[in-house]
Amino acid sequence: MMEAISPTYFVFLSLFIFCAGIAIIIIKRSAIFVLIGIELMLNAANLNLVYFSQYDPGMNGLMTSVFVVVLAAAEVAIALAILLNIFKHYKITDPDELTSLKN
Amino acid sequence: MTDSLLTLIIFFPLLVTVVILFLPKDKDLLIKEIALGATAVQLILSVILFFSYDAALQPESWSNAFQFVERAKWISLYLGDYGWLQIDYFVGIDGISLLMICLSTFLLLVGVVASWNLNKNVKGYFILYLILSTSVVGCFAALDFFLFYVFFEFMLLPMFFLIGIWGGPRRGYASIKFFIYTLVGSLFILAVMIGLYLSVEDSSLTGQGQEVVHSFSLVNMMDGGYITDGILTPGTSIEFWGMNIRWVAFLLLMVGFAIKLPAVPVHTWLPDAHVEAPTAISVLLAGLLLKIGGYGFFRIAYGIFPDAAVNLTYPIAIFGMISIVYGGLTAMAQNDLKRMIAYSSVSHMGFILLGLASFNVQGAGGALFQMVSHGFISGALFILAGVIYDRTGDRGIANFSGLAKAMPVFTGFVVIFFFASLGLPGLSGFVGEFLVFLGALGSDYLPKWIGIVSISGIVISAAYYLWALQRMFFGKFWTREKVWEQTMYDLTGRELLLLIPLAILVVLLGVAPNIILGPVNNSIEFFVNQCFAQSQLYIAQ
Amino acid sequence: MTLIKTIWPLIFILPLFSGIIGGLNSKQSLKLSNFGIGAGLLFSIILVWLLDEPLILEWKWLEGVSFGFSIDRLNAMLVLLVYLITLLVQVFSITYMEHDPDQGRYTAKLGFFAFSMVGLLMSNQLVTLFLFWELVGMSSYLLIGFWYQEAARSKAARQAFMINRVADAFLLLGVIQVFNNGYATSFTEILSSGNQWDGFTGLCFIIGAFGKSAQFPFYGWLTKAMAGPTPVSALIHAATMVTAGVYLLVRISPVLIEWNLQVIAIGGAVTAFMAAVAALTQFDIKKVLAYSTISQLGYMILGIGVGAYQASVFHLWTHAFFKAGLFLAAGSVIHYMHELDSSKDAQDMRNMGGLQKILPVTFYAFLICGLALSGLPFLSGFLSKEGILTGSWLWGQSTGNYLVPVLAFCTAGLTAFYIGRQILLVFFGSSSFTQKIIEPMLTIRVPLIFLAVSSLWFWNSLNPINPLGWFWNSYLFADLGATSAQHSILGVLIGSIGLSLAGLGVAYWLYRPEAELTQNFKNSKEPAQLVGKISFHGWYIEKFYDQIVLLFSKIVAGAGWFDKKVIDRFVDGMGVTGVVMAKVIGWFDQNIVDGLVNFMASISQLIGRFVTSFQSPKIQIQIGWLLLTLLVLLLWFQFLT
Repeated sequence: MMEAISPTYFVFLSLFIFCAGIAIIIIKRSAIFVLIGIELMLNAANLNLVYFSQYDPGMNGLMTSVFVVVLAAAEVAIALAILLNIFKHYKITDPDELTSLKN
Repeated sequence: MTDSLLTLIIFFPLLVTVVILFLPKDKDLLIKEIALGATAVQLILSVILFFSYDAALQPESWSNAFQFVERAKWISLYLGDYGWLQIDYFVGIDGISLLMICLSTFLLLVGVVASWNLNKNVKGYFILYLILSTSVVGCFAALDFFLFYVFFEFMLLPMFFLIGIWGGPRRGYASIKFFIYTLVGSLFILAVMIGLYLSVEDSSLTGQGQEVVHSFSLVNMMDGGYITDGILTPGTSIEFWGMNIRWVAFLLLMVGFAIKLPAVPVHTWLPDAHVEAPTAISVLLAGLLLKIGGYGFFRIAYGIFPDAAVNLTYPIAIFGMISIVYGGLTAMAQNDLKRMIAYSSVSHMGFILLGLASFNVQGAGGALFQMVSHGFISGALFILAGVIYDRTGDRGIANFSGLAKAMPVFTGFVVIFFFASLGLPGLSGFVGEFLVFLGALGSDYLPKWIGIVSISGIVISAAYYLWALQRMFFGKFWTREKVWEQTMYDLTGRELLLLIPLAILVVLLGVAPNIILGPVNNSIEFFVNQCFAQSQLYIAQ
Repeated sequence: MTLIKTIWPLIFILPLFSGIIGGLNSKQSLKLSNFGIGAGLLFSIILVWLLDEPLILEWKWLEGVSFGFSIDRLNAMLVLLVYLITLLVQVFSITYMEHDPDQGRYTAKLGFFAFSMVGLLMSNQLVTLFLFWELVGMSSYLLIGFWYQEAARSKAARQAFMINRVADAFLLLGVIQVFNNGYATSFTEILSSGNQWDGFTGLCFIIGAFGKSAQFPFYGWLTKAMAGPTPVSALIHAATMVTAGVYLLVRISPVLIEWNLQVIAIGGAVTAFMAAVAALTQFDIKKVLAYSTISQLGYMILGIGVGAYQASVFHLWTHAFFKAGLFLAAGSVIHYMHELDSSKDAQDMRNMGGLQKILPVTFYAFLICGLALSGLPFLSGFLSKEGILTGSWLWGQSTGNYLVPVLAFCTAGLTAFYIGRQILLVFFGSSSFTQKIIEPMLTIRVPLIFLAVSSLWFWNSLNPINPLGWFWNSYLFADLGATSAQHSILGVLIGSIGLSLAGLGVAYWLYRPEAELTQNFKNSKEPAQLVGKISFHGWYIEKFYDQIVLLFSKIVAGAGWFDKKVIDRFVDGMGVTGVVMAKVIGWFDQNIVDGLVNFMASISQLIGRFVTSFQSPKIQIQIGWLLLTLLVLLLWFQFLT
């Protein structure tokens, strides 16, 4: 068993990743990047869950993180499909330019 | 058969309406024939009703005064603190309503024949017409105030459209005037109806629970089935504008029905409605709708509030007198034949007020007879006015002269019905007037001068009828427009078919009035005696 | 009795029946109808012959009101009279109306009249009487206005009916009073009960009777009634209908109280005098006769008032014959004048004169009947008038009121004068008519001769100067109670003969063919001096009516104005007010109530707009804001709570 790493690092790492995700979501114009930002945020949360689940004998945090991973995968798959179709249709990826859902 | 005869008479036309509803729009003749058949069946049924009516019945109280009674629960609602609300489908007739129903069904048949030449939206016309016939007859048969009110209001709708769509040039104005007038009248009635409902209970149903069962039954109202502290319970101390609330309620009813009657000064809707209405609708308006006002006096105003009625005979008689004299005078001032006849109706309806105000058997019988006889006479008069209008599109008295030359048979009928209307003995108009005068001058409640002034009405009516006769029918043949002279052909077979039965009835009733007054005599006597007895009872409370 | 029961309905219904038959058969109408009337006449003779005690028929008409007839000797005799005169008039009309296309209508109306008149006479119940009373009035209206295409005639018919109607309203009031006061309601019971009526009821009946019998102030209608065909005037407005009032008063006189009878006596006397004065100056041949009829009716009424009702009935009987004769003779003259020159007024006496040679039968009939009217002995009129004069004189003696007898005697003199004047002006003098177009035909001659002969004394009484010797007296009045104790008074006898001779003499003096007045008569205008004017205009009774009508029409116009401008204006005003109110409320609703809502909406819009102004449509910026807010909230909870 390795020496326990101080939780501070994990928290800061996850914070960093989360903030990076937020920054990407806010700054990047492409919807793909927005998706990436969302993935980052989700995984930042996962990191916290995984880490702190070691203190939980029921492993609820770990289970949740597995759920989140599955959810994220599904979400990304659908989102990418939508984005692909939008791109095919409008040739755009910027969500702000997408003003109408119909035609 | 006799168990549900009344319901059959009331709703048969409505049933036929459903049939007509499914017919194609362009089958005019078929629709007319069906409507004719429907009203004929209605008439036959009411003749059966007339002959199976038990004239010998001498009732002790209102609860057994009615025959052919049918009663079914209609609406039953629990209203918490207000007790039970009980509305019944409750119909039945006594002699007064019997005559009115027979008159209605006869005139409704006449009206169908009179509108035979109609060609504008025939389907709609006859649907409305048959709805009207259901509501008129229903009104005369209803023994539940709520049911009465429903029929009463329901009459307005077809009438409004019948005048407003098939009427003359100013039909819009006339129909709205008619509608608003009548609606205002029925608001008064509604107010009293609610007040009565709150003060009357149906003691036969109270056993269901602790709550009071409030009822709209007219029989309970007339028999005095009041709760102990209702607003309109006799002996109540509630006052309104310094007057006992029962008097106020009675006056509201009188105003409401006087509008329908109509009596001066709420009569001005009548001439306008008549002038604009098509002939058949004029016949019904004068023959039936006015009678509902008179019937309302009998059944509701006098039947329920005899104590107020007995105290207010004086003003009622004065309004009757004013209607008789003033209606006659204004009739003389008219230039339009139909307007003149309409005002003469106002004058003749005054007799009903006067007869009722005299509060005796002669007066009440006279008022009832006057209603029947006026139904026939005014119906015929409007048909006669319609004949001229059909030929020329004009009815101005001054626009014609010497019509007797061109239309001798027509003039013969005009003479008969004018004389009937001016009260020539031997024709039905006289009998009602005679009885009313007999009642008014022999009344314990009225001063003699009211009767004496009213008698001048027979002079006035002679004056305007004979003047019109002289101006329009005598003298050299002349019409304002030359083209009219060609169209002035005499009566057609259909018109004769209309007028001959009416003329026979008018003569028959004039010579032998007892054929209709005899069977209903017990009812009238009971009505007057009961009103008197209850008025004494109520006043004592 | 069984025979009577069988024939009385026939007598009752035959005129109506023959009228209908005649009416349907326009060509032969009068001839056909004569069979009906003739049969009726036969039946009524049988009735008079066989009747000994009154026959009463009654049935219920209304609750408490019966409808009933009775046949006693008085009305049987009068029914006979009606039939007789009707038959004569119809026969006369065959020629008189031969050119008229509407003969059928004429016959029907005549039949209807005879039916109503017979009904009136047979009525026992007061209501029945009133019914036929009005029917008689209506048939009179229809016959006066027979030539309806002439506006003036139909107007006259209406006026005549209206004047009657006013009186009839009083009669109706009287009938109702009888019912309400609990008096006997039929003539037979009235007679047997012996109750007296109160004065008001009696007065109502008197007014009604005055109306029908053309007494003051209603007599104006009878001159208007002359617009009808002359045979009709003979039948209705001389012989039968106008006597209905007399008949009614005879029937009810036992129950009238003292002052009622005085009203009758004075009313009759005044009318007799007024009408006699009015007859003096007329130019219209029928108007003279009309006023004369009014005057004679006044006599009959007067007779009832003074208690000599038997004499009144007697006078009614004789008057019916000689006055019908006068009218028919006048009709013959008018017919002739009309055939001669229809452009001139055929009734104006100024166009006549010297007709004696051209129309001899007419002349003699007119002469005999006229002298009977004037009251010369050996003629019927003398006998009956004598009875009335005697009665009035006795009444004057007993009451001390000599107004009535004095007026009655004056009238006797005036009567002789005006009828003498008329005979002289129409039949004497130089004849300007040389054409002998129509010597009256058989149809005209027979009625005239019959009526003239009937006006001789021996049909009525063997003694030519005894008014009590009337053959019918014992027949009629035996069952009416004791005959009043009358006797002839020599003074009255002499006075009346003297007065009629004097009247005729003065008339001859003034209007003899060579007299100045006669010479100038053709060009004379209506009189200028006051008395003449009053006479010519019939005491200005029509002016009086006109004033009433004027007043009435003002009231009518006022009522019409009031209805249109006040009541209807008020209703319309209510309507307009309603519409204005609705508009105001609509405005209020739209601008104030709805405005408030809109105001709230626009405020929130304003806020929204303010907030959006620093918002970007960009999703990412919105998310940024979201996160920022989240952060702020987080910090808030973290540090400030």
